Parts: sequence; C-alpha cells; structure tokens
Amino acid sequence: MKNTLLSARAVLMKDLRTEWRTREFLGHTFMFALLVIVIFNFAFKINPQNAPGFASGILWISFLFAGTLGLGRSFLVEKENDCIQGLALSPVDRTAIFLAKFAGNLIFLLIIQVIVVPAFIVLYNVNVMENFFMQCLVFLLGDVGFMTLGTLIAAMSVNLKAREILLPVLLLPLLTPLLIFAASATASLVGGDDPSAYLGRIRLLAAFDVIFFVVSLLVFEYIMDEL
Amino acid sequence: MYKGRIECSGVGKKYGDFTALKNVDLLIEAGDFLVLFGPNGAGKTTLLKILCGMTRPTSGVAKVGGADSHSPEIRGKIGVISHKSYLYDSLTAFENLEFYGQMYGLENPRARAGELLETVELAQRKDDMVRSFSRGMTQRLSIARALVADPDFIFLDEPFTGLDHHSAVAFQALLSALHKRGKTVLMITHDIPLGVAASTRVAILKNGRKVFDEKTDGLGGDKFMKTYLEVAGK
Ligand SMILES: Nc1ncnc2c1ncn2[C@@H]1O[C@H](COP(=O)(O)OP(=O)(O)OP(=O)(O)O)[C@@H](O)[C@H]1O
Ligand SMILES: [Mg+2]
Repeated sequence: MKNTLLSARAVLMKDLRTEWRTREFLGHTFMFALLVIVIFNFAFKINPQNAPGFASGILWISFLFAGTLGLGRSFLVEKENDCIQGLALSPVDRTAIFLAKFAGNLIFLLIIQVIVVPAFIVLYNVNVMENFFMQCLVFLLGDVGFMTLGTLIAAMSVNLKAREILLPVLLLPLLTPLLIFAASATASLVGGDDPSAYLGRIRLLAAFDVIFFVVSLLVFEYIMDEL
Repeated sequence: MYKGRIECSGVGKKYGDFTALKNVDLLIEAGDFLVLFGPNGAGKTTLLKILCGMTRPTSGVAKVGGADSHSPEIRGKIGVISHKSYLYDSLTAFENLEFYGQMYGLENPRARAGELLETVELAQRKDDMVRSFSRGMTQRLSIARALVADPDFIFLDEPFTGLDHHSAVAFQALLSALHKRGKTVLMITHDIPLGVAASTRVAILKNGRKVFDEKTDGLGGDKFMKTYLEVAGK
C-alpha cells in the first residue's frame, strides 16, 4: 500500500512537471471554459432576474467541456515514444498509475474551477457560492465522480484511432446521472432551497463516487494489460 | 540455474487470421547470449514482446525465470530496449532515469540515474530535455533506462540503430560486460557478423517458425552467413 502511494506520487509529480513545462494547454482550456460561459450569456439573453436559474447549467457544462479536454490529454502524454509501454513493463502497481492519473485530472479540473467560478460570479453578478461550504462539497463530489470514470475511459480509448470522438461518446452517457444530481444540487444551493432539497442529492453523489471508484480500480488493471 | 532461464514451448501468436508465430520452442539457459536473426516480418519482435509480457501468446507457454512471462513478479527483472525509447520528451535525461528508477522501486533512484548517465556517456547532457537529443543519444539513454533496475534478463530489439561507430563499440563492450556478469541476453539484429561475435547461441526465425538454433562455438561468421542464406534465403 505504501509502495503504491509512493509510486502514484512519482507518476503524479512527473505529470505535473511535464504539464507545467507545456503549460499552454492549461491556458487554452481555461480560455475555452471562459468562452463557454460568455457565449451562454448571449445565447440565453441572460439578465439579473433569470441568471440564478441558468447558473448551475452553465457552470457544469463548462466544467464538463474543460474536464473532458484534460482527460483526453492525460494518457496522450504517455503515448509519445510509447512511454505507456515502458510503464506497463515496469513492476509498478497498476493501481498507482490509475491513482496518479486520477489525481492529476482532478487537480486540473479544480484549477479550472478556481478561475472559472469567480469569473462567472463577476460576469453574471450571481453569487453561486452563497452557501460556500456546501457548494464546494457538491463541486468536489461531482468532480471526483467525473474524473474517476473519465480517467478509466481515457485509458480505454487512448489506443483507438478515433479517441478524440470516442472519449466523450463513451463517457457522457455513463456520466449523465451523476451530472444531473450535481447540477440540480448546485441549482438548489444557488436558489437558496431548503437543505432537504440538496442533502439527498449530495448523498447520492457520494454513493456514485464510491461505486465509480471501486469499479474503475478493478477494471483499470485489465485495461493496462492490453495497452 | 533455473532462475535465469527462458523457456518457450509451442508458442504461437495470431493477429486475427494472420499467424505471426507458429509453434516456437526455445530454451535459453541462464547466462546465454542468444541472437535471433530472420528476415523482416519473421516474427522476431513478436516473440520478444511475448517474452517481456507486452502481449500474450495465443497458444503455448512462455516462461521467464520460471514464471509466466506475463506475471507481475518477473517484470522488475527484465530490461527491454525496443524501437521505441519509452522516454518522456519534456523531461531531462536525468529526470527520465530517476522516474524509471522510482517505477522499479529503487532505494536511491537519483544515484542510479547519475551512475547510468556516466555509463552511457551522457553525463554532460543530463539536464537537457530528451526532446533536444539526437537519435543516437536517445538510443543511449534508452539503454540506460533499460538497465535502471540492473535486470537479470536483457531483451534487445535492433539496439544498434542510430548509434555512431564509437557508441556502437562502447555498447558492444557494455553488453559483453553485462553478459559476463551472468545476465541472460536475447538480442535481435540484422547485423550478422556483429550478432555472431556477441552471441553464445544463434537462432533464425522465418515465417513465424524457428528454422535454426545452435551454439555459436565453432560456427564462424562466414560459415553462419552461408547457413543464413540457405535457411532464410529467398
Ligand atoms: N499488432 C499487430 N497486428 C497485426 N499484425 C502484426 C502486429 N504486429 C506484428 N504483426 C505482423 O506479424 C508479423 C511479424 O512481425 P514482427 O514485428 O514480429 O517481425 P520482425 O521479425 O520483428 O520483423 P523486422 O525485421 O521487420 O523487425 C508481420 O507480418 C507483422 O505484419
Ligand atoms: Mg522487428
């Protein structure tokens, strides 16, 4: 267990280091997420009255787009010079690779959110973080589920020719229930609803996370086998 | 010594309907240096991939060091040099070796990285990105990468590609030193004189079958060349 965590940390540090050296990607994704928010502003004729109703949907769509871009990249860096083979040949525990990739993807999405959410608040003048602690929890639970499943599917599709298309096509249907609960919990929090309206969804999100995580860990081993 | 042995029995590999390897039996004793020859597409790389656990045979068994070649416990004991470098372009030479050292669970990956950079004469370029390396330098670093965990088995697929004369000679010396230290080596090459000189055994694959397998003793380079042309020829 300790070895697994040490190896996971080594893979994560390696990824963070290479990502920092090619940091344009983070910048581009951030611009992309921001653009999504701005376009919705015009598409929906948003004004101060109707903005709170749209907030959750717009935010989660921009997280989804940005997060999917990040996922596509996470295993692509391992394809250069076939490094993924080099990793697979090493005795490192497969779980460590999954944990590292998952953590890297989660950090990537969190960075995007830390910038996009304040930008949203300023642009639309809606304080989506009114209930700060609960909203953070919803974001985090949504992110964890999204990135667990996303990391698994990204690994599965990395060797396919049409991976850019297949990643979202495979991921979205599986992710839909989680996204619905996350978006509606965020909407409840923005609308200032009674806790009973969102606590149940938060519990469901947590349950999804646990299931996704366990299943992904189990399946990942087999995926690495055939890379 | 059973530990350092490689055993293939009835190994076959099919890609769809295409048979890349058929019923290959091969026994490499501990400390052997087997050089595998054969025309393009003969199945040499496929056999090597099976032996390092990169792909599974569709029939037969391949055992390395007494364990199934696909089992996790044997992975740390095999070093592979293939056509691909397995190196990260946006890491430096040192960082690449350090990272692989960590993946192989070394106690002190940094010290090992430094040591290996000396061995492959890249110490001066240790802090340069692999992206900026020439083909031959990348190949040398790839050799260091394969040796990071001081493996018992060394598998090489045309390792001389891209090396200049000096590096090729140095690498030959390194290989022979490793062999003397008791490593079991399997090398694929198209260079017959070089391969025969390095080997203790030679084998030829053709159309996925093993068609020749003998000890090198008394098998001079010229004589083997004739045999090769007879056995593998057009
Ligand atoms: N992944 C694959 N899918 C389908 N066919 C493959 C695959 N890998 C190899 N082959 C086929 O198997 C045969 C043997 O390939 P292999 O790479 O083992 O040859 P080789 O002896 O290493 O040749 P070379 O000297 O050119 O390197 C070839 O006909 C090749 O086309
Ligand atoms: Mg080959």
